[in-house]
Amino acid sequence: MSVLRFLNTKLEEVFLVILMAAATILVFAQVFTRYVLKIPLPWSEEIARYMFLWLTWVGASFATKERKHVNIDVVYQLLPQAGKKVCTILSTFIWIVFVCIMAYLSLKLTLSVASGGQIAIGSGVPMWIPYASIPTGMTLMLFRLLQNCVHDFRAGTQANLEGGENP
Amino acid sequence: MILKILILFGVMFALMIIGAPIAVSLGIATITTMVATTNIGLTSIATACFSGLDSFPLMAIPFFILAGNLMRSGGISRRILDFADALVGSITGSTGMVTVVASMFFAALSGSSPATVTAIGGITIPEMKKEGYDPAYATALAAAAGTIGVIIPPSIPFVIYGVAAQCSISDLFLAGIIPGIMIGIVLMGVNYFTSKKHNYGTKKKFEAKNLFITLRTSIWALLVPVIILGGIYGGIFTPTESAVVAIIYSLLVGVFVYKELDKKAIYEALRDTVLINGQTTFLVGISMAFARFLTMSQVPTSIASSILNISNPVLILLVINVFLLIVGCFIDNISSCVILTPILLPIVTGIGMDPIHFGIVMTVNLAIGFITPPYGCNLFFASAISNVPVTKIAAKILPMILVMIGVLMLLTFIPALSIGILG
Repeated sequence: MSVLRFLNTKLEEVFLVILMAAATILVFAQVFTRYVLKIPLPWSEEIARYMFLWLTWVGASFATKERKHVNIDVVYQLLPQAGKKVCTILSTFIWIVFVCIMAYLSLKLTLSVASGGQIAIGSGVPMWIPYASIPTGMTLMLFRLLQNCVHDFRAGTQANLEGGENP
Repeated sequence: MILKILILFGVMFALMIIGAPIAVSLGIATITTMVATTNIGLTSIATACFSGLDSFPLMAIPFFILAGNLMRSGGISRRILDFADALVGSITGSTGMVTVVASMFFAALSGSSPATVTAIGGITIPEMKKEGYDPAYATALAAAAGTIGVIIPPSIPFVIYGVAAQCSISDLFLAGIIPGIMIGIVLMGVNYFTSKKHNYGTKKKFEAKNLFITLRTSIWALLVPVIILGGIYGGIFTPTESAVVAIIYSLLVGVFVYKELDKKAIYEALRDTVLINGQTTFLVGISMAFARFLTMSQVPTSIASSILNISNPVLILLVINVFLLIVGCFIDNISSCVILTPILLPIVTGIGMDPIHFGIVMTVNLAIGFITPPYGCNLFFASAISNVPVTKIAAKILPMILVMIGVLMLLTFIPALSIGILG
């Protein structure tokens, strides 16, 4: 149970923090070995880029969990309560559709890269690893979106019930 | 072609209006248009998202965010404020002047505009309130001064423009120095006259001794731009690597010299970075897929050729500036930079404008977009600090927007101000 709770609250966060720290160290090592030791690392920049892809797509899921994605709510704020509700439901639905399409397309792409057996030139990393960041991130995002929906729905019914008790 | 543009931008605006995330609006607009008007396989969207972000220069984004976070919690921003206070605190409108000058210094350490507002305005807005400034004016000034964060190098928008326009990020950084100083000067001018009129600020005397003392404690902070710019132009490292060197440097200074960074603060800085990065670079990735689809459909070239046919250069530049200012009022700067660069660049190079020069003009435009309501990132951040609603700040920020537009016009029509420094 506590493992599940940890995964639920901290999965993206811990993964991303470690990855960010590792990427910083890696790029610093790249500068250090090239400028101070005069030994350029042929693989470091490539690996750093792949870390960045993972930072981006898993980070997108983290931002979904924390509800930090940028939107424009100028019109939304002017709407009456019912209108806001309709817009929220509609935009969340479209968001879910988008994430499903992206997850499907990127998974297809990753699988085709994997079956081609491509390998990165500098580092020898199999190319499906960086590609897999997109389907992974999108699947996590889908999960976070559904979680947000359930949470909002519960909060909504809660508010309705409380409203009913105290007219 | 017209149908394609209509569907693409129609769907995009419709989704934005109902409050869908910008990234989702762009993504669905691209997918819908591809399915409705072309027979290009949809997988190309996933490919574009991958290859667009498979970029070492773009990695500067999370690195500069992290460097800024560490400098804020490691005590570097406070020392910069002390130094700025000793430097300009005796001029009329003292703390207002300090806000602008400290923002200029912080801009030389950080590449983000909201980060500058939080780091500097977070301290000076409450101080100005205490000293009897109109809270709305104090908030407006900090928000406007924060825009300098993306003009004086390093700068995240320059990184994004450099990748989108395929030109040198190092050159963009250099070309941003004088425009950033110009904006600082005109904002100080606005603050001077406003403070004189309303008798804002305290009367302090300038003391050389004080300047010397604060210089000594803030010297570690003031060395950061020397390291970043010196390293880039000395050919030692790339802009992305310079951000990492700045991270390591601010870690060392924060932990060993100022002793204000502990494990918890470092973790918080990392957490905050990956969160903002997830929001920012995800948007960059989807915007790139959108922009690539535009380019594939030859929308930019057809717009460029139709515009180049009709007008004279001065008019074209004015129209582009007005267009960008309007865009800046409604849409965030990242997606507009990625999407509009491929559309506008062929037009301006068609009338002989240098891509670096245009990068400065575009970034200053979008920086003004940070403070133009209804959608202005800096307004939101500054308003969160002072609890003054955005509508009240908007009234006070108008003169600052106007002087910044004045600077923008100078920059647009006198290329030497930006690219002159490149020789």
